Amino acid sequence: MKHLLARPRVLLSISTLLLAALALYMLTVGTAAVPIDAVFSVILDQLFGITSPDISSTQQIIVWNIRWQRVALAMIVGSGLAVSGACFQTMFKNPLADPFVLGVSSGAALGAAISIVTHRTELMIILAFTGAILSLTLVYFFGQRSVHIRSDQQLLLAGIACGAMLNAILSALVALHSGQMQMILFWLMGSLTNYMDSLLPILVIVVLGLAGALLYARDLDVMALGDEEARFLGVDVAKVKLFLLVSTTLMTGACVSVSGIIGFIGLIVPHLVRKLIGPEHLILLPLSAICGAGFLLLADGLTRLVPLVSGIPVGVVTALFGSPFFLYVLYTAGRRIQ
Amino acid sequence: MNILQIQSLDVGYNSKTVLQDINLAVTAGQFISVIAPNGTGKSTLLKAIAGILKPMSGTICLHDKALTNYSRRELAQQIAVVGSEVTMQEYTALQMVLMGRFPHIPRFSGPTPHDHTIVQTAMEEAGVWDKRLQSCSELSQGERQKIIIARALAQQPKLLLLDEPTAHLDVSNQFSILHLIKKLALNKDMAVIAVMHDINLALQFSTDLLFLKKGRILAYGNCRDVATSYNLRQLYDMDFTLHSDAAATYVRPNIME
Repeated sequence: MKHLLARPRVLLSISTLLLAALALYMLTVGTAAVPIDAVFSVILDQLFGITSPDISSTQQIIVWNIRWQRVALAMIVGSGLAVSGACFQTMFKNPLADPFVLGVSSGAALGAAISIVTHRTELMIILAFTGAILSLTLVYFFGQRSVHIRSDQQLLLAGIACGAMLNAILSALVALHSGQMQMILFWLMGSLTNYMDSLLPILVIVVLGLAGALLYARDLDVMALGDEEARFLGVDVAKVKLFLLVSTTLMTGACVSVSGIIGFIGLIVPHLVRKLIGPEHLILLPLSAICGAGFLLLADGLTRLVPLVSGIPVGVVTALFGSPFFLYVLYTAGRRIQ
Repeated sequence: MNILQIQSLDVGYNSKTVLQDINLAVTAGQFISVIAPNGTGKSTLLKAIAGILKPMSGTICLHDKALTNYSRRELAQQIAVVGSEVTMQEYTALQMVLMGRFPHIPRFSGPTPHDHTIVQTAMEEAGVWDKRLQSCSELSQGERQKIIIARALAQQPKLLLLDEPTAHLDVSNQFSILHLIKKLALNKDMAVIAVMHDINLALQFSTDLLFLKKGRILAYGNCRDVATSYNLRQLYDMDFTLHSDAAATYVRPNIME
């Protein structure tokens, strides 16, 4: 194990293979079982146009139109949230920082709620996205008006204050429109079942976000030592922060706009990966993306496969199973240090 | 040629001036110790020279070009800073020192074998090459300080700034680190400016002394000229006795009855 951890490329390849296997497995299971070879045939057909005669149109529809959509969405959202979380934790030198703490998700939620109460649900994605961007602009505007050099605490505090305000407006909306309360609440709990449009824009945003973060991976390595030290070592901290804030907000906004608020992934996945392979971002970021994708895929699989939790929004499941696991890791890590 | 040229510099925070009318010329091979009572603006001076605090008036020139005309990356290729508080995270010693190459590595590429050679040389000079695979959090204070100095060397700077490099260290580590810095200043065509607490250590290792008092330069020059009982009395409002032997000059405060 220790040997493997020292070889990041091998580790990344193995985890990618595991993720692919998990995704394939998730395509075969569900209310109607589809054998693995049929899944393969459908994928070959859809991606490369190699048609094989032995697949029924029902299987085609189940695998490609229903399950693939959901599996792909889970992976995109999971990796987007995990990468954003990893960037935020480093940028703010705070283990609690994730896009949700900075009020980005509250802005997105408010945008989505407005679309629901005004009966314009076709605008939900655009409004959620706009909400995310606007709340970040607000937070950044107030967060950087610090007396001294731009301090992290200032930005976090501004995020928490703006988030609280946006949440209050959201609660007021829910209270005033009790008719749509259930729909809003369900959306707030996070779900992968709402979204049925093309995944391509979301995929593009998440991939670009990850690529952007990787471009600044070595800057992030240095910034983990503190902003002043990073500036001494030649990092243009203000510029890097602004770039990463915008790109992670676009990623989070895209994810939240299609899946509602799925908490905990941005918080715990980067933590676990950091404990496993250390703080080097060139490995931390892609491995967080893979683990985030796998984690959300598993959580979504639970809501589909385990009768006890079926019908519960996936955002609830991630918190339900994620937090005890996280507490366990905290506990064992704490013991090892003693 | 002067590496650093400071002319009638005023610097401070917001509207509060901390340092006034600072004039300073620094050439390669100098090891300048900055000595001043607490709260005089020693760290402010280092921050201004490192280019992260903009002058209120006056100029700071590095190689005859104003600091404000350099990018952060260009500055880090010329100036290395060793702070007094060191954060380490879980990086290995080697990863930490490799960060010193950051300003030299273009954005779209990674460290080359050349960078790794420089890192190895820097770590060998600082005497920490055998610690390269250890996590920095497992190392002692003295070893960490040497790692940070190795990182500064890996930057291949023309000017090395140190903020109390021997604070929190025991006597033997204080000596080995200052000895290393002195050797570097002499051999590497480099200038060193260090904020020092201990005047005796400063006298023993540095070539020049800079006394700051109430935001102004009280005295600047080579150790023998500056370390006089008159200047020391001006600096600390206390009486000192100086002892000289063949190796160095020592300073002892007179015990007040």
